[in-house]
Amino acid sequence: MPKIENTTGMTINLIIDELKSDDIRKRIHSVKHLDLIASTIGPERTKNELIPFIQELLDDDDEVLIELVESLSKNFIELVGGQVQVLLPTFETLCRVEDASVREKAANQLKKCFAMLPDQKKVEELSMGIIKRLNDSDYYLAKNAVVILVPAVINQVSQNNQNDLINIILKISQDQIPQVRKFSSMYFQDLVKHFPIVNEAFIQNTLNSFIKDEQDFIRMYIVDALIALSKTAFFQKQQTFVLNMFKQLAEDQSWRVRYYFCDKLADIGDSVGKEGYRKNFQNYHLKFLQDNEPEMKSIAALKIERVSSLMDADDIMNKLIPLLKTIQQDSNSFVRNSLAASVLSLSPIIGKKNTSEQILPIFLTLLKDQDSEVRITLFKKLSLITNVLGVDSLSQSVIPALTELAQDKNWRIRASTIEVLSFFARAIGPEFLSDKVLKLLLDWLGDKVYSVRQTAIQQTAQLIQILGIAWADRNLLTKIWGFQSIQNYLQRLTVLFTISQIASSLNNDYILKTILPLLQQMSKDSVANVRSNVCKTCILLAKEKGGNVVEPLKKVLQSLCDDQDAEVKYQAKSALESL
Amino acid sequence: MSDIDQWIETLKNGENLKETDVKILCNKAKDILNNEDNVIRVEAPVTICGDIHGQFYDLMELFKVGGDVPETNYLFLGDFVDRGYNSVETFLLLLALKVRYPDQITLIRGNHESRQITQVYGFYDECLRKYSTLNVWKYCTEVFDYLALAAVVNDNIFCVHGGLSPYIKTIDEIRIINRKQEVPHEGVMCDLMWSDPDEIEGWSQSARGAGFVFGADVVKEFNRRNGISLICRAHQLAMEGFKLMFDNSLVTVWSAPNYCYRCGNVASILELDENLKKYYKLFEAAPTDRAQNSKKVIADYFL
Repeated sequence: MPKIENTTGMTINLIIDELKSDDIRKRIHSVKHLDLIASTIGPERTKNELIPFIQELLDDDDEVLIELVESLSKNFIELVGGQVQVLLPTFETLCRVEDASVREKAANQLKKCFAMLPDQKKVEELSMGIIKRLNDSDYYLAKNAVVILVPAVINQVSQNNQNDLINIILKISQDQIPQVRKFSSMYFQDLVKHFPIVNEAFIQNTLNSFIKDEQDFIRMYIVDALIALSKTAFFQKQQTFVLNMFKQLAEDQSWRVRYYFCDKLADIGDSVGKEGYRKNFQNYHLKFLQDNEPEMKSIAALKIERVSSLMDADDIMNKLIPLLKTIQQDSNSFVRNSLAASVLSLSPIIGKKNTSEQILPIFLTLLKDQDSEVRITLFKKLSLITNVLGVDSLSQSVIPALTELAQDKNWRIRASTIEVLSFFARAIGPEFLSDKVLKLLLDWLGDKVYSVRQTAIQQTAQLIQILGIAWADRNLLTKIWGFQSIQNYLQRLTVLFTISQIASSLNNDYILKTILPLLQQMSKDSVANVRSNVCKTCILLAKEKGGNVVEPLKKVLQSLCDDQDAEVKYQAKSALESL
Repeated sequence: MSDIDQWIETLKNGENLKETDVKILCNKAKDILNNEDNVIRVEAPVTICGDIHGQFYDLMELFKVGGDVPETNYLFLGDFVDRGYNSVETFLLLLALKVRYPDQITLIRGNHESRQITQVYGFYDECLRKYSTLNVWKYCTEVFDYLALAAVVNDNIFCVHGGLSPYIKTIDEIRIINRKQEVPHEGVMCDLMWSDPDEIEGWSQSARGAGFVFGADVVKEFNRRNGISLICRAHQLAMEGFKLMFDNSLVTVWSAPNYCYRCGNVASILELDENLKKYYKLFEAAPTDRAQNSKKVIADYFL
């Protein structure tokens, strides 16, 4: 039994009293702490007193009920000592409220309770009672819970009851109110898993009535039901039926239905297998890439990454890629962005020669896209094409694009570009880091936005780890150490941050020769922030490197122990203490 | 990790402190603020920031652009609370940073740091919603009374939330006020939090109903008499983040991007290096992700 600590600053009795306060805020506060009350009074009193008390609260504002169902979902099964049947009436009432999230949560809690009922023989009786009452309720939204509960219990009840449940669902599926029909459609995927308890005729009739429904949000969910069906024995018996219905959805006049279908394309493909996909659905995907709606083109482009593994290489070359050439120039930037996210995934499938001839041109076009988001998305998938074509061949064509992005107005784009540069540098090595590229790096280290400088420092540290301190010293570090004489203290701090980040790559000789004089110099800086960071850097180096650098570093720290600034003094003293 | 460091971590994650911790934090803050003058002497380098108005995620963005405390020194010109959705987190984080790094961050009072105003413009409601009691609001409004009224950087740049007052001619006259009280409806302390500059001559009534409106000649004379080269203030929305006036003798700095989540303005901070060289850094609203509260109470106090 979990014992919950009372951190509210109020007594339990006060919290209980406030459950009935006039002030809604106090009621919410008490409801949030129901588990605390239950844990304090124990399972017996919770069962016999608290739960009935809560029943009286159920006629409250939505705001309170949302908190209530949240609170009851936490660990109440334990708090009533496992006697979940006492919770059923409360959850049943909560299935009848206006707020959809409360209804759904309450219904799901009911499912949990059924599964954990100590006397499993009672499940049939109790669940049928609840389902029938909710179904017969005047309040039509209560049917939401019915469609959630029926699939959960239909395989545990008698034949007669199963027939009753199926009739209930049948009526809901043909209800006058579209929202009620939608409930049935949304959860039909859970019900069809129980084929053949739910028989063929019922499934086919229901799906046929859904697909003729005039509301597109009802037709939409058939996709999920069909996917669920394709994993059951139904699919072997009624393959044509399922495939035809899929096709109707793919050709639906509402773009929302087509969109939903396209979104699930990969799952559909997995269900029907490669042959099934190529024969039945491949053409739809290709059609979507030419749809009028930009949303459709966008989702279709995004899906290329996943469906390409279902297609064969010839089809990709002859049917898919020609379409991409139009998409790369689409006027809508979201479409181009989706293309950028997935086009490179084709490279490993079609091989080096084809990638070079077909994908590379698209890559280079997107690289120059006017929208910087598109360019960054492309860069994130870079390794897919470099693995096939080799990093060297790409590095030259990429540099102009990088240079432009490095000066983008949006600082987040600038920060992302640093990571891309680092990717190439690590893959190719020092030859990539020409003077031009090094200048980019130095510019970023001196960027006016702090976060860009930080990203640059981190990437520099990674580069140095790979390329070694000797190379770094010759080409980069001397220039960074030069920052110590920049007028602006924030830029001078870059020196100290860099030292801290590259500490693991430094050897003690280098530290004694080059770093120590720097630190000694900066310990006399006019700005206190610089001096306190000198302390931080000293202690970091002393701890990480040890050996002959510790004494000289200690001297620097000692010199700062009498600093006029309180923070500097504190940093120096605590650093020395920890050594 | 000490308590205060833990609180800073918690607040930076956008989470709330326990009510008992808020009380302790506010008491510590009062101790520190109590020892500060009405007009704080600040040494450059320092980065000056305008109104934040509870836009916590935009404050995070500000730190991403300007640097973290304590590496960067900051001076905030007030109006930490009201209007935005996260006044509690915003104010408590700034307080916690002040307690931890008292010499690296300076906070002065804005017209919204007031019991009356916060009951109308959102901070009171937010405290009640997040804590279900009024204690946190009480603790915070007590801290407001201790906030200084103005600051001077290197004896050269005068910083205040609103503007000048016709009742005073020198900065020294501000030092003798009793500031530890609710913002009055009139008088010097009120004017400093409420006044605005405008293209007029001399002084005029303010449409805000508090404070005054003052022109270029007033600024020129004040600056001359006090050896000041620039008045740096906030209090008014600047679409481009900052607005220079009166031949660069006064600047408005505004640090709440996309104010009230709909004005579409850019924000700025004024970075002063050790030699008082000025860098205006602009930034936009933080990109939205699921960081915002799922249940937002749409407030009707957006003016």
